[in-house]
Amino acid sequence: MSDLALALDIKALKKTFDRPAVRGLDLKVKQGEFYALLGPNGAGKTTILRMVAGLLQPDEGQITVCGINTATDPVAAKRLVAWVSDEPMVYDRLTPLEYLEFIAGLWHVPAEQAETRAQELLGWLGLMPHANERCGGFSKGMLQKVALAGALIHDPRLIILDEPLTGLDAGSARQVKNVLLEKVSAGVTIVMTTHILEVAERMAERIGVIASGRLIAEGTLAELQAQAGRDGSTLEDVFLDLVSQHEVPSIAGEKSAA
Amino acid sequence: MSAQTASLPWFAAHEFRLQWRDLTGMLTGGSPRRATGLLIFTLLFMAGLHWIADVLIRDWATAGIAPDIGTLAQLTGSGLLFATMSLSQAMESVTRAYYTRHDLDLILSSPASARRLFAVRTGAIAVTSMLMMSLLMAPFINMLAVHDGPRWLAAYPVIAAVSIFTTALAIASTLALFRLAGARRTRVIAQILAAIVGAALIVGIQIAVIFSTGTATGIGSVLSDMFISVAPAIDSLIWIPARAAMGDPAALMLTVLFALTAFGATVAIAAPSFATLAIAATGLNEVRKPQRAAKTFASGSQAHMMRRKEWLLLIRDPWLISQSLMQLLYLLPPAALLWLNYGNTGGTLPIVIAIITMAAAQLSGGLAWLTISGEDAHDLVLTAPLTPRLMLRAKIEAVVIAIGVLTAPFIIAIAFIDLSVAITGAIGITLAASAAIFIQLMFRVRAKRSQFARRQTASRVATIVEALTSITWAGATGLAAVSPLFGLFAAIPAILILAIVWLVRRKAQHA
Repeated sequence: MSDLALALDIKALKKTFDRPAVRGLDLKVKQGEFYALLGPNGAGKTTILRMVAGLLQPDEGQITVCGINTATDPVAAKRLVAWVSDEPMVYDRLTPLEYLEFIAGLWHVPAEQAETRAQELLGWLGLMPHANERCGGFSKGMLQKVALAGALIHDPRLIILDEPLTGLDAGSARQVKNVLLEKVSAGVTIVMTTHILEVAERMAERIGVIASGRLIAEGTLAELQAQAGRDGSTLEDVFLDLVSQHEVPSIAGEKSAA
Repeated sequence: MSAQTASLPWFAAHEFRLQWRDLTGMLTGGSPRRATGLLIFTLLFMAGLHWIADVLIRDWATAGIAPDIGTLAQLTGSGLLFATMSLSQAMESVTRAYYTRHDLDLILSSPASARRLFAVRTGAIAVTSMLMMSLLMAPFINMLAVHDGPRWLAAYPVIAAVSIFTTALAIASTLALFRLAGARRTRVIAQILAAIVGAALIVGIQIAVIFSTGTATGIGSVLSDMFISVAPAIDSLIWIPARAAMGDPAALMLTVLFALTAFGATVAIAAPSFATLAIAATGLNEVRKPQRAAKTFASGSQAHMMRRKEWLLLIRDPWLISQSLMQLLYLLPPAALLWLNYGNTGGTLPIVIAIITMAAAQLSGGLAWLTISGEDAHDLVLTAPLTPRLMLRAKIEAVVIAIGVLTAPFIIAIAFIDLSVAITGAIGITLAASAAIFIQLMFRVRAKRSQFARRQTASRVATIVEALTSITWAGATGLAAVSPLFGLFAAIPAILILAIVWLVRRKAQHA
């Protein structure tokens, strides 16, 4: 796989807070790929994504977005990336249209183009009737959809989603999933973390499993089933198996050290 | 916790624990070293205040203080000043008790009594006000007790009574607003009223004196003459709180009983409707008022879009009114002076320009906190393709332009009277506002806009430094209006303060 064909290329990434959160991670995601990052709580998923989005500085390692090094040219890299976290980053006192206008301004999207795209996005996400209401009274699901519209308005090449479906009802979740799949079919790359394994199983082309800051398994569902030695099992079974396989030696190691 | 669950003492203990942890967390940041430092600083500060109080009242007190009209008027005037400030604070706190969610949803959804919670929360407001007033007045009360006898210690229960009474008044006014204006409008009206009440006495007196004498000088003597001329007879009931503060046991008992009765009655009336009104206040978020639809998306640079966003959020911030209106109200006396002295280049312009500079600096500090520290979508802005420097510059420009728009009418009016004073004022306001913004940058934190009202308690050092620089720049600007050389000399302490802040904060950030 040539570097130009990669939307995201992470090499030997390390980050330590009071304890190591990411330990020498290598990860490659192709352009136009839907990649799901799974892992138990505290595995380091959000830390990895925050470093890709430029919200955290890595201690070591290199992140490249569509061939642009995020350390040497952060602004150019940010132009290509959209970040949606599980806590919607929306202003209570702006309307969805005002919010999208602001984001379009930050990403230098021409006003006319932004306006058309905003109407389109709000329509897709079922937010058009609320386009001129302040976001302060919106439900979590509506806020998440506004945040997603914000992420899409500048036509990013790489969308990073951290638990985007948390708190969404079935209808909203389907709207968001449809929009994401449409983007992927248009060549946009998506890297998403989720605890809803069914979503990863249905939507992602490849799945990476993270535990204790390391990538412990990666591949299509079939490849993961093979790695775990559980052909025909669900992703949930495979995931739990892989994570427990990884945890057991470390616990045994701790015991023997003690 | 031994008290029966959800009883009044149980709620009180829960509330005390939360407030205590909140306070100690804010003041010490969990560091025992910082706590010790803070304790030493507080003790030294209080000792200093006691020394100042001693210098101010020694001669008066050692001669023996009799309860004559002059003394009673002076005590009542001071009490009234503190009562208005306490009422203003209580009105804001009571409004918050209804509108701020935090744990309210949890408690209101539990089988615990909302009435008890209301009684405890309003009681806590009274206690907080009582402690703040006691802390401010303690040096004077203690020194009066030292020089004129322990009877002056009766002023402490009077302070408690005033705090309890003003809290009762705040509850009654909030309740009345809910009835008259509805849940949607009460929050904004209560904040405006709180600001007006807080500033009314000082601003009102200043304006009254300015209009009767045409000058702002000698307010003290004009006031005492006015007071004595309209003061009621010595046996009037108006003097009861003042007599109580001087140790009259009957007056003291009457004052305390009156306050407790007023508080008890107000809580008894307001508590049953607390849950309903608080829920009505919650419901506000569910009613989404449509905004006027923008015809087309605005186009402009990233900086322009950032400034535009900041202005929109500032205009729509419901708590900004209470935090800034008082500073704007303090601009009324200089406006009155300008009005009266229009065409007269007498000695009032330096005072006017100094007050405007002070207000501009204070306002800049608040707006800078909102735009720099109170960024609600911090991560969003950080992931945008613009450099942190550009983002920060746009935010600062938003504040500077807002201050410029607010102060420009004054400067233009002064320019018609005296162009050089106007230029000096414009320079002074720019420097003072820049200094306030610089302090906010040095002490910036990552916070929510809704925490705006607590910014002063979150960093006492920042608040003190901000106040000090506002005063020094205001003084320097006023003096510069008289003589540029005086102004330059007076600006030296202001610059020194900023240099010290820069050195200390740079060291702290590198540590």
